[in-house]
Amino acid sequence: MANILTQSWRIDRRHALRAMGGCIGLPMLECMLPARASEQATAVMPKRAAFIYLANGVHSLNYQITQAGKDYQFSRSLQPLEKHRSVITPISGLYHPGALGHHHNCIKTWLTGGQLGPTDRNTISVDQKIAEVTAEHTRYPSLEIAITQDSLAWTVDGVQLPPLRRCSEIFAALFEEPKGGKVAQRTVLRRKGSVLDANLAEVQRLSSKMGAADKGRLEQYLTSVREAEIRTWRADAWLDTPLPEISATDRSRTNRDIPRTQAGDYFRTVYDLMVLAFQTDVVRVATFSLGGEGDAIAIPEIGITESRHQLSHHGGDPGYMKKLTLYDSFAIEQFSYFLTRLAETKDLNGKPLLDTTMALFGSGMSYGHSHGNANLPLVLAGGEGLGLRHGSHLDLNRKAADFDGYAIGGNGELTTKHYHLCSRPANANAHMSNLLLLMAQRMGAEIDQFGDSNGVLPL
Amino acid sequence: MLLAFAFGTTTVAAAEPFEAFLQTHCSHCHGPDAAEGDLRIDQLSRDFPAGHDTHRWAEVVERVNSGEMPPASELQPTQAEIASFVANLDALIQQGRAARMAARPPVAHYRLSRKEYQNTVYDLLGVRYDPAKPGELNEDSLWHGYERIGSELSLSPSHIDRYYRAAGIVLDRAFPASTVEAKKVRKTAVELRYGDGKQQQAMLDRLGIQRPLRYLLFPGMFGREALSPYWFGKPSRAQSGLYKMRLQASGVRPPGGQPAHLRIGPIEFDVTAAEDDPQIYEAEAFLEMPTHLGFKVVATDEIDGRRGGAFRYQLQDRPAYIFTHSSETLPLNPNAPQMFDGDGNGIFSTVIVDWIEWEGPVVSAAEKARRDGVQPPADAPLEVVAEHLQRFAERAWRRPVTRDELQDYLAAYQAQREAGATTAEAYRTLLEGVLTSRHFLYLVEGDPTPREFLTPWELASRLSYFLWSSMPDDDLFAAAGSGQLEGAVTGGQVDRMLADSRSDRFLADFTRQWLQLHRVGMFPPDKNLYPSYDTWLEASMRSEPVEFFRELFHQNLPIDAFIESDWTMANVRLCNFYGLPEPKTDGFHRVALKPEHHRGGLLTMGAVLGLTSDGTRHRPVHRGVWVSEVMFNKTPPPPPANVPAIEPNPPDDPKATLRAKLEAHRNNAACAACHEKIDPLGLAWDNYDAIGQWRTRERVAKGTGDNPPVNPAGVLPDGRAFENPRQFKQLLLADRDTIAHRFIEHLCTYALRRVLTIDDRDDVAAIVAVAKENDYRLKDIVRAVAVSELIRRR
Repeated sequence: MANILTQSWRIDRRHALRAMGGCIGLPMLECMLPARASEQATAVMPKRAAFIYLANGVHSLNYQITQAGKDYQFSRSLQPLEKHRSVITPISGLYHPGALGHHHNCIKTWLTGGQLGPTDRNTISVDQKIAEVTAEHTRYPSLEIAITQDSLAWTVDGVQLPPLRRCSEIFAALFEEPKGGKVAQRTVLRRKGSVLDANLAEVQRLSSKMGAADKGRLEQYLTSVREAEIRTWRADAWLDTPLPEISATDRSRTNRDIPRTQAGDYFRTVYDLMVLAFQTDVVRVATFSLGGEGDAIAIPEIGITESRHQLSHHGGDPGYMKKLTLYDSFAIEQFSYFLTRLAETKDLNGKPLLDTTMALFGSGMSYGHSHGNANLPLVLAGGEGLGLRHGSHLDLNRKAADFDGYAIGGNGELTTKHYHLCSRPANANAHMSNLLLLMAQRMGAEIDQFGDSNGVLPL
Repeated sequence: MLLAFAFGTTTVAAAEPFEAFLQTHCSHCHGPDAAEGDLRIDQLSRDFPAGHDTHRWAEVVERVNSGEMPPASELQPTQAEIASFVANLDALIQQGRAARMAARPPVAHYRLSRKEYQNTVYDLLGVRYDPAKPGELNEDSLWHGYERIGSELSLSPSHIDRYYRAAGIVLDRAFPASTVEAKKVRKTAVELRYGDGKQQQAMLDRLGIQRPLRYLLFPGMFGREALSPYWFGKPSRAQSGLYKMRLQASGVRPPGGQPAHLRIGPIEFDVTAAEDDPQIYEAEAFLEMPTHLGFKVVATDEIDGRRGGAFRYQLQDRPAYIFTHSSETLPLNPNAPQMFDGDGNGIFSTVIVDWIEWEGPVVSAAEKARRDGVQPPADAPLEVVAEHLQRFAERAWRRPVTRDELQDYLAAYQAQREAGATTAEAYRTLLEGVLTSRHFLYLVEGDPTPREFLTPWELASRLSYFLWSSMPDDDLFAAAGSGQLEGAVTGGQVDRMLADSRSDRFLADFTRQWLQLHRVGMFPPDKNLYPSYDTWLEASMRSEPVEFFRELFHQNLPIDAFIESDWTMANVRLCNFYGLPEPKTDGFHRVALKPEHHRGGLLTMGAVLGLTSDGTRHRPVHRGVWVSEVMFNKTPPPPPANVPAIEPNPPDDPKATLRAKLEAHRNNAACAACHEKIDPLGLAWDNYDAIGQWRTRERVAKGTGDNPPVNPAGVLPDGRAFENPRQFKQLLLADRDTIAHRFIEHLCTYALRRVLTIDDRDDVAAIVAVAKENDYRLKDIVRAVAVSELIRRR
């Protein structure tokens, strides 16, 4: 598989133009540019980012880490991550101001930091912002996975991207030859390109006729068709590059359908597919929702037959709270598996994939029973090769002037007073967008603002 | 939603009442002298329609609403002051939003919803295509339940990709490379259940049993095939189409239990025929092939794994389980679990199948006729190709099309022909172009030079998407072309459209969107708390308001029935759930209601009571907001962020209703200001639990003492008091003029695909006047909207 990470796919521009026939007036495609001088000089390693969403918050009392800094103790739910201590940073105290009071809609702004309201349009999600810089290097711009309900990804127009769900579907989308072989596929793409081109020409004529007038939806249609056309040509260009070879073992492990009743196997196989996608460099940014806010799956294998939403509204029921904790640590254990796989898998330069892969795990809610959207449970892992320094508990609550410590009871455990912190931010400036901005910057996005960021999270 | 009518002006005069509040309570810290928190309220933009500082204003509302501001050290406003400040400012914010949402550029684009796309390709080419299937078109974004508000329906490259793909599928189905012949397939109970059946027949012979083998289906059974693509040849996508099903079956239900309900993929119905008197059930469904369908008996009492896998295994998998008649199961299956008691009564709800028959894919002559003349003959000269293209584009784009507009497409055609493509291959590119053009995907209204009224063609589309959720038909096109869609003559076309069966689409689509029925079942009810809830009950609940609206429309009854009626539309399952006498046959029937049934009107329907609950508890505040939005077209100001939840009753406290806890919880002036307006509208329904069952006591999980009695009494914001839901309904009915007015606003928002603003006030009032003359009868109201001045405006 040594050839996978070479740049052999960069296509010769003359070849591409010849292949495109009479189509002129297209923007020059990024993939047709000679590799940039700077890249050639430093032989830049691919950078990757993954975002994993757990719906409905966590059982905060068993999740919260109460000591800041290097010498923190893992909480009950976070225990499975202990072995990765040196490459992770649990983060407390962040929140999205725009999500406060928006209950389950928090999943919509988790990666956008946008505003929610009847006439507010969501804004671009950080994975798509990152894809703007990584898409030109890879066969596919980004990967969206959600086991149930919606994906986490939103376009610059605030339009949600559709998710993939089943493992075989994800495998096919990433690694299967297109139907009918290369020639047939090329004919299809060419036809699509010329259809889109004709539509584009029509709308451009109207647009120029209208001059500076308010064009409303026309603008959106125009940019969407143009982008779809660019993607069509890009896909055409990629046809000449062989798909990465996937070993029989990897193929049989990941290219299969797993029933929802086997949650662990399902979660792990999706993680395997993400590792495989990063390793073969078919995509560099991925989002994965373990399930939507209303319908995150049950885990019969550990005796959880209720939906996660139902458990999160535990109403103080000790049985439900126990199961919720169990669910939390189960999900975190599968995330730990993902990190282990990333650490074991070698990148082109022989270093662990984890070194150049940032993985963010967490939720847009913390205390599910009352829809508390503050003090979000978040863990950032990996990416030390991108300059991240791990090993501590980054506690933004403690940076608030009037924070007087966690609500710890006589038995040393958190009391229900802690829920208040999960509903009302202690540190008003601790915007989660600051973390998203940090990740976008480390991925190479040249921006100094993202969502409602008011700084970059120091890490 | 729309507060513009309640508060007079569009431009903000200096003397808006909220200014005085700001002056008294805010300015000295957030003004020129001390801009605390970097906020200078005097510098925030008062131009609400422009929306420059909307988020900051929203934050001001939020802080005051939550009691955070003014801080405790400052002079505190009274509850009434807070209430009027919040209402005033929130109204201005909403009014500004409405103006931005309703803004129409010279050329406006309203994207078709998924449903409209589906109907349009059917009416255009006779092709059935399901855009809601995973992987097809993206979901539409909703605005208060509405699927078709132009400012909400946006577009991304992914939409374009999917529209392109959809166009390909639609054209493949309209002009298939090879046709799949319709086939009729019949499978008997023996073939479905017993293989060749020889072994079982031998057993019957040995015992001297005369009755034939039948196939017993039970709830909780899975994996049994009802349709296989292999029955129709080699499985392929080309097999997709309309399939007609016939099935002979009987149903068995336990005494007092649910009727047997059978689901086969998208088809479902109650099987009420007695065991000895099987009935033939017929249905048709569009199937995206290749697909497998299974039999599923839907009932809350299932034979599932928890009863022991062996139990199910013996009935389902063990080849030896033989069924002929309930009286003969014991001798035939002495060691299997018994499904019937000694008297032939079922222990579970079961279905007994004799045979199933499928015919498909069926394409009707009418469907084929819509494709006539779309494609040019092979080797047609360019001129003929252009003529065909122009004719097709005129239908697809719903207006006259000039040759000039088609030049880009024709150039692409020529390029492909020169590159060696056949006429048919190259022409297909043209059809794809037409179906992915903005003129097909959007309703396009206006010209670069602004104008006030729609053209007849634009009006034809607006009317047909309003009343048919689809494109105009030939008659309507002809009317547009011959000047019959101007002024009073429109009435004739509108009457024809309302009488056409396509108006069924309006009845279902509008009701679903207006009542926000997409929320039904969004948070599935807790199985332990509500064991009688199942998917068939949910589907029945979802249909009830639609069927009710349909009946109101067809009988042209006054809209008072929205609030109170002595009848409803129900099927067997719903009657069973509501405790009404059950109809004898499948489907929805008009059933009479008595006071003791505690039903009548929309507000006491299971769907409405369920969608305003969270699956565990009823939610009085949600119910109040729903009544306010749906009946009064008014969205209350948003709650402050993260109000702490109402915690469950502690085990050693006396049991208390949610209402009692809500009242204790609402202890600060800021909260009370809004809740006083919302809560009475929801608390009136406290007699109904989270799935809409009637109760007089509220079940409280923990605590001491008895479950507390429900208190549904309250006082409306205007001071009128009520004791129970019935009296509450009477108070609403006294306001019928308001209710009718707000309903007409909803209808106009739906028809115009945009939010209304203050500028629409006079046009709406004119419609209301016509409606009032006709005693607010539903069909007359719809007609009045369709022939109004408002609907002809850009």
